[in-house]
Amino acid sequence: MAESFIGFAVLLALLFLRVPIAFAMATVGAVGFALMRDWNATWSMVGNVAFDTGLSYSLSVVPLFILMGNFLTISGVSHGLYAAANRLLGGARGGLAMASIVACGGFSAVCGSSLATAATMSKVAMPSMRRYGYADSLATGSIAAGGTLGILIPPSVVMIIYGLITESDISKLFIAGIIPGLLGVVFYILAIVVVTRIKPSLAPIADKLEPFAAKDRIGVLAVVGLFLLIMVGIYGGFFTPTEAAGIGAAASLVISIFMGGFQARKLFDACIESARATAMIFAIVIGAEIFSNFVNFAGLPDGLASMIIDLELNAYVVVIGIMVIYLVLGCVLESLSMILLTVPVFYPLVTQLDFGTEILSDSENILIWFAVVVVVVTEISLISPPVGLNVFVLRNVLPDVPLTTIFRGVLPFWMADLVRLTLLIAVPGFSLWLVSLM
Amino acid sequence: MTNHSTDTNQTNESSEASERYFARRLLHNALGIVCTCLLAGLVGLTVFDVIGRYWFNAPVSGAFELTQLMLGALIFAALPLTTEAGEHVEVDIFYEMVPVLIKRLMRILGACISAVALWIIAWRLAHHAAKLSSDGAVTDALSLPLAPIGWFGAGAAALSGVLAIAYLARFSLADEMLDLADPAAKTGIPRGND
Repeated sequence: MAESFIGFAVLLALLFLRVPIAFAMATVGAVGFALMRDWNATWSMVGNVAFDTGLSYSLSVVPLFILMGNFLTISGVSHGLYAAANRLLGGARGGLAMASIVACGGFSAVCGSSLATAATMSKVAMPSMRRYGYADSLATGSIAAGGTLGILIPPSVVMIIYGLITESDISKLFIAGIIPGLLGVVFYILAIVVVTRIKPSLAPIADKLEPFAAKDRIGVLAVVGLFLLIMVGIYGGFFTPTEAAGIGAAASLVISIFMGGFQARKLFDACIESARATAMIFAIVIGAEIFSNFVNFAGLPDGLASMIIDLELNAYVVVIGIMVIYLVLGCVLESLSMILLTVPVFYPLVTQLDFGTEILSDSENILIWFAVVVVVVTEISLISPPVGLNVFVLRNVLPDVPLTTIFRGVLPFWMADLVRLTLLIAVPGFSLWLVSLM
Repeated sequence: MTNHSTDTNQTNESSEASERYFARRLLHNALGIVCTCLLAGLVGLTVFDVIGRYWFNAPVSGAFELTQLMLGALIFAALPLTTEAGEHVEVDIFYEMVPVLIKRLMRILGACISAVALWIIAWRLAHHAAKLSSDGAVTDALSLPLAPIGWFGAGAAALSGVLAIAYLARFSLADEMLDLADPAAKTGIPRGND
């Protein structure tokens, strides 16, 4: 077990020296594995992991859902979502910020990535909030926070990876994310109500709202239709998640051509972007598998589990301890690598805990609930200083807004997230109710 | 394609730079077309499989393994593109705080570890492919040989290793380029301007 901790320390050192995460994990994992076993076994392990991961059927959802999101990004449906949400909420104080949150939630329902959600919505919502004189802090904060919903509301690339690590059913993980995602929308809106009550100057009341055009209606219908197609397809048993992703990508291509015309160059770029993002994710998955082979061989997950069980701690204390580790790691690590590094270590432990409630009595339920909790704590890391990636996405779209302004704007949402996380840990039913109906 | 804009300026300066630029465009377009075709294949295969199954009671035979093979080809074809664009995820929290000299050393370390890791993966994939080839390993339903995808992966990983070093060389051209840290570039999401 001590070897694993040395491995983690060396890995963190390499990461801080800006070695790409994928190759740092692969290198430390391979060297560690070789030192504990031998080089021959290591070499064949590396070859097998690279080949098998590249050809993994269950991971073929990843490029397809990314492609779907990228097609929808160029289609302009995001504008329709924002216009519709504005029609609904725009008149209230802070209404445009609330509309940003709702539109982010809507876009998350057809996009599996938080960064893509934040990047897409910022282009639509930010100009509008600026025109109505909203404070930059509130405007950017609401988009950065709303964007985090991308990995919680299905489809979600992070949930797919979690499902792969823990061998959980992806369709159950997806459905488990819906209510916590909607809770996120509600809590973020409450956060806006509170801050605009305290400081009304952040958000002037918008008296004349922007029009909700026919094209916007089509955009909203397209998103709702696509989400229903995917969900009904998966839960009606018509197709597997992989097939849903393929059909979703095809449908989003049709939507994109219908709404924006056949823009060959943009569609080609969307394909290349998707391919590059896929290779980036697979490189991390391969590196993480090599690393976790080493950590598993060194006996960390089992050792940790038996150590914690021997201590006879309360299950919730252990979970809170894990959450604190995530909050700290989230300040320096990127979300996908954080999940790939930590979930293999924690999930055997979590399934052995005794939560003392009926609903968390079998390990399948525990793993689904833990997935939601881990994804929500990862969402928090996306807006935590100093490296919250969503904040940097906003910063990239709006280079004139200082980072400190965005982080200040994110703070109320960050606190709302902590409350939501606590609630989700305390009441597993939020995550498991829809699963139990399946 | 923000990364290429800097090269457009260099093309006027020397023919060597213009050749380099040409080679990169060629690589980008060739692999880009391969990736686009594979994505189209993955999407088309799924659609035909589902439509065939429900409306014509005739699913595409071997859809499962065709998906696997195309996915493998897609990952390996895209790996050089990702590496070339410097899109592998990095933690730059300390990088932002250190002087230029240390930044350069960190860049060199990162590129060397990436290249060596990629070359080792290439070597092992080639080894794996040779074994598959000598075993005559084929897929279950369609009896497609598995070795070519291993060879393709080995070649792509080796090329990516070269590109990791080339990326370093490109960045060393100008010190100010060291500060072009672009979080969006690392995440692979569509860029903001456009």
